Amino acid sequence: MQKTGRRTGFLPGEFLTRTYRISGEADLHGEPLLDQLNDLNTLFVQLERMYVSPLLDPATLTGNYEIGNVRKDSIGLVVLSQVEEGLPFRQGKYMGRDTVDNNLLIVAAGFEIQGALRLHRTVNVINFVRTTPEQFIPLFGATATLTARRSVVFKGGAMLVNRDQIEVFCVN
Amino acid sequence: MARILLIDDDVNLLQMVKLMLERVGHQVTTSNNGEEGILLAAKSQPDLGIIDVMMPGLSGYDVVRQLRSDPLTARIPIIILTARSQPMDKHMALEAGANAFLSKPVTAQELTDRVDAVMKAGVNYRVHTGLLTEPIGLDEMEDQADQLGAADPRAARDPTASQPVPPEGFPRTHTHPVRTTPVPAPLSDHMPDRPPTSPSPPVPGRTPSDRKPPIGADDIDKIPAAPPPTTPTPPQGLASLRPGGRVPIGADDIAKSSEVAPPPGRPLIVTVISLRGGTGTTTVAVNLAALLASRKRRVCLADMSTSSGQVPLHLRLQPTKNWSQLLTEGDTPDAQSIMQLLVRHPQTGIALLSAPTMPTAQTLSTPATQHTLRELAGTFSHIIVDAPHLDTATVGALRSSAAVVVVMTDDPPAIQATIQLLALLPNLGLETGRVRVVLNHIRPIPDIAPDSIQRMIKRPLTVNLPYDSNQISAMRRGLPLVLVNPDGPFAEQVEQLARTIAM
Repeated sequence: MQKTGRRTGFLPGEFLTRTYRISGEADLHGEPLLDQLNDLNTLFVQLERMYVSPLLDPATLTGNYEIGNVRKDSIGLVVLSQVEEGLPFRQGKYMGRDTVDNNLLIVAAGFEIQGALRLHRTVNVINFVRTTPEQFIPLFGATATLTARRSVVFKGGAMLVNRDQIEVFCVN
Repeated sequence: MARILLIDDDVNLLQMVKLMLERVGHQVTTSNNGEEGILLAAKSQPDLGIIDVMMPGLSGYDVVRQLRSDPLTARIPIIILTARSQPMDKHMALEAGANAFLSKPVTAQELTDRVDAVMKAGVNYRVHTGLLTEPIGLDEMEDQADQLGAADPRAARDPTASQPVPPEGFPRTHTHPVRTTPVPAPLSDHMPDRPPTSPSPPVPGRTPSDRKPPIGADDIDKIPAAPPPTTPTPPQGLASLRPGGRVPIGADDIAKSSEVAPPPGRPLIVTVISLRGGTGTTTVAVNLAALLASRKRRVCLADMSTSSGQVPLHLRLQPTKNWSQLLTEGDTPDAQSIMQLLVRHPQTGIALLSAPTMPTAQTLSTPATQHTLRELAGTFSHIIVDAPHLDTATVGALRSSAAVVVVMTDDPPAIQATIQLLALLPNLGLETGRVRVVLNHIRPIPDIAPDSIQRMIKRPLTVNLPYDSNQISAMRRGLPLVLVNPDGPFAEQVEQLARTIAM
């Protein structure tokens, strides 16, 4: 069924840094957001219709900008409302047949994140998180709780977690 | 058709949503910023506002707050439509004064459903996901009334406008437009006449001198109360279980309503039945009994299950006696024997005729059940029979009943079982007017819409019991949900069921 409220070629998401909640629409330039975030040739991701809230008061809008650029390595995680959003849907390693969900607890960017990392059954999840060359990894059905204020909780069909900011990860 | 004001800074989205709403007949005015939207709202007095959160200048929350603070616009129902869909955003939107929250992207169906639901519910209700509605808290209502004072022009026009009263015909918990049946004539007219205190036919092996005197109304007090549950339950009376604001319905209230009160001396037997397990037959029976008991009625609940009845589980009772002890007494069990089997639920006063705790292949014969119910009718004003399946005892109960409540859920097997049961009941001498159909939502997500169900079973649903997550905690406390949450939508629907049976 056709949905409205989304611009073609743009993907809305919540980009969480250590201090801000940034809501905006990422310009996809024809590729999935995850691929764009993992592209080592670019340092920033461009957002349109960007609205900013302090992380400790995440429902209050403190600023808005038509266009903004967020440095990718400062992003702790990206919250996407739907599973398929922003992912290499059909051909990616996180989708398709013979995958299993590996439940993980990740502490990153001041958040405790719980969700499932979907990988092929032959892939060892610990080795994957430790050694994958990709900067962002997707957790499905994820919940992120701000450690400093536990009432701040984000939920999403998928969260893209910045591996560079992972402090601890545990396999359930 | 409604006049809708749409405020969003995204012009493309404005056009899309406008088209969606105009296609179903609404008249839409648009504005691409909050300041202009507020002016338009005051000027055009729309029936509904749909407002985005993320807008340059005034945010959607600011717009809602300003609309709520102006007496001219305070009573416009508002839906927040936003891409920010985290729990804290929804909380913020509702706290600001919105009536519903929708996250983008949205389908035309979702949007129109929510618009319809909010329009029907009105400004005093919040409509949640799944179109569940809840009244805005009394405190909030009072705050709003204080803020508005007498300056509210809508309140002046409509004296009920500021009261949290559900709109006519609008189910508070489920916005599918269920047409509930009109309140029929009291079913007590259909009550089979009780034999004029005729003694029971002689029991083989028992001489007339052995016969004990017939049981009377005073005997109800002699029914032993069940031992207290193993875990402490709050020992308050029923009145204290009802949170503030609502006084328990008492005898005076019954006297005031001739429609609700049964004629004196005419006991009412109601059988609650389903041919499919797991539809909540026992839940309906227990709650109906508890509601009546809270109205100071003398209520007996007969659990006719042969597969370890669930009533004791609902009431946290551990009865040691059950109707299987009547199996040896033939078709005319002794009145005193029947009374000795009853256990009183201490919190509600319901007298329970329990089912065997272990499943049994034997059950009471049809005449024995009819006789047992007749004897109980000498003591109790209302007898609710929980009949989770069809057997000889259930047939006896059905034949003795003034009303039959058929319980169903919204899944295909339950619908099929209901169709079959409704076809069967006339063969047992139960005309359609004595049958009530209850749709019981046992899952949080509805399956088949009530309208479709009504078409399939070819008759209207009497009530539409909403899913209530408090059911489990109510069972843990050993108290029916109608008493745990007497102001809730579930209790309201049970009350409506009781009213349609003219209890």
